[in-house]
Amino acid sequence: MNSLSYRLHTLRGDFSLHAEDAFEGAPISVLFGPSGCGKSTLLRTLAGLERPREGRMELRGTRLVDTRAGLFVTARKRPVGLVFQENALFPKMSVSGNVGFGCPPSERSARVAEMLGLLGIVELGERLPGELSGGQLRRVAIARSLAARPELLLLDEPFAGLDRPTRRALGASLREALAALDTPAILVTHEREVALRMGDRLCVLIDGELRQAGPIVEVLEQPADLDVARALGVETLTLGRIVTREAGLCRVRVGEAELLAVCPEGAGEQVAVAIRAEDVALESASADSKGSARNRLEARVVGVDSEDALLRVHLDCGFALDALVTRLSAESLGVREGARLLAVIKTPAIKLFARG
Amino acid sequence: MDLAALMLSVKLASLTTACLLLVGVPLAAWLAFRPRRFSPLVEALLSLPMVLPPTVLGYYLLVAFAPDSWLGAAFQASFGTHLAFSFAGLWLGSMIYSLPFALAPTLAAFRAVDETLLEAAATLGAGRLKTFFRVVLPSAWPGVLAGAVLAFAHTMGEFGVVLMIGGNVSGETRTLSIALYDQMQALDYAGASKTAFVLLAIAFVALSVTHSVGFRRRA
Repeated sequence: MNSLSYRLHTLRGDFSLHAEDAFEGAPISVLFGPSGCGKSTLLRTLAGLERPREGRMELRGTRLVDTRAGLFVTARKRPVGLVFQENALFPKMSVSGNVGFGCPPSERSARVAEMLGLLGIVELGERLPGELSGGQLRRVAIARSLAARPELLLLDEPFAGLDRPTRRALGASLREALAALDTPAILVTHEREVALRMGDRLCVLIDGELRQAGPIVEVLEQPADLDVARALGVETLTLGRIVTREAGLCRVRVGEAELLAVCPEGAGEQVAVAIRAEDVALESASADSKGSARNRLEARVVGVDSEDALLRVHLDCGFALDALVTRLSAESLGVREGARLLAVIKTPAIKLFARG
Repeated sequence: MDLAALMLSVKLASLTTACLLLVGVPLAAWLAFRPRRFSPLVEALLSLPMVLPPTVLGYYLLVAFAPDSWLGAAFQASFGTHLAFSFAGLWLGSMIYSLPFALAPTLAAFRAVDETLLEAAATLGAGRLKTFFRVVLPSAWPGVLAGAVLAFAHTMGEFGVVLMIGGNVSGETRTLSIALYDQMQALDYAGASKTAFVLLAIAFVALSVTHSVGFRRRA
């Protein structure tokens, strides 16, 4: 079974990293967090390139780190592959040479052929890294790490610097290759889009601390605290004041509007309010209340941004609120700057976090 | 033209360069990739011949080679001949005064290798030797070559140290630069002119080789 567990404390100059996680079987864990939060340090520690000050790590039942017992398996002896953000391909070596570098000689040619095929780069075998595009370089780097048959693959910002179509194609190839070799992966990113697209599990790292880890749906829908919610990029994040409470629900004053939401445990009067743009629906101002949604706010459109097939509509409804809608519905509603609409939010979609 | 001196110089420079490659490359690799707290001191010590007056180095070598020193005595006991004023002594001295010239470019080339490449090799399970020969050397060989050429050229041309520890024994310690000095002493300007030109040409060719390797890589 693909299992990994670790509890690590690493010091790097003034920077201190604490991370603890344990899971089984998830194909891709995304290690997510803002720049400078320690993602790369954690990845390097898992790879054995950094020595943790304290902690332990176990992969598929094999202990790799145990500072109490003085155990530290070096990067060279660890069955862990690492795809560097800068690819780190050997510049004087052909693509095949690079991919075969970590293979035993007897299996080299077979594995190189297999990996080039899996990553869709068969035709690049004789080229030198200097002749390849960004997406091709990343494919070669992934092929090289996987060819060594690691029991865990680590990827540092594998989509950085690539355009959208390249990202999509690379993401699909990566998933396919990991599945074919039954290799779990930990992928570091600071981009929410990558985390949402690639992650089966989501681990959120903030200021050198692993704040939350779990199945992606769980983490997205129940951020452990305000920092996690903020890191996950919940678009509307503001402060409110609970005015009345009833049967586990509460009415919250936010700006000039009032919202009905589920009351967080142990909340005082002050709360932080998080609403994802995906959870905000728009209706024409004249529409009657028909649905179950309890929060229907009069809103004025203050701006519209395009996001692929969707539009991000910035609203003023007594406080600033973002809504994500399709172009089609925006057209039929006549969404444009200055238009008056109703913003509709279901009660459970409003997350409240106790403050103070 | 003193052909014996030319042959002796070439033999000395070739032997010294070959031995310096064997000693200098691992030494540079150790200083570049496994630095210790005292590494800078080692580097400074090995670089001393670059700045010391050749006579100072020659003096200390001569003292070390003297038959009553432990090194001189040990050599005498093993080989039945003394170290000072012999080819063996000259060779040992050349190793020391040419080492920094071999070491500096090699060390610079090793240090210029992207550390991420070394880490990548480690995560792919490569040991030190494999990493050195497959990752470091393919990038750094021009530096190693430059070091070898400089060591060769410098050994060909060294005068002061050779005079101090080798003296002027024909076929044993009289190198081309010593022969030139002899010719000038004997007012043989025609011979001196030829000898000087040969030394000049060797130095120019050597430097051309190192600079064109650097040029090709930048171009």
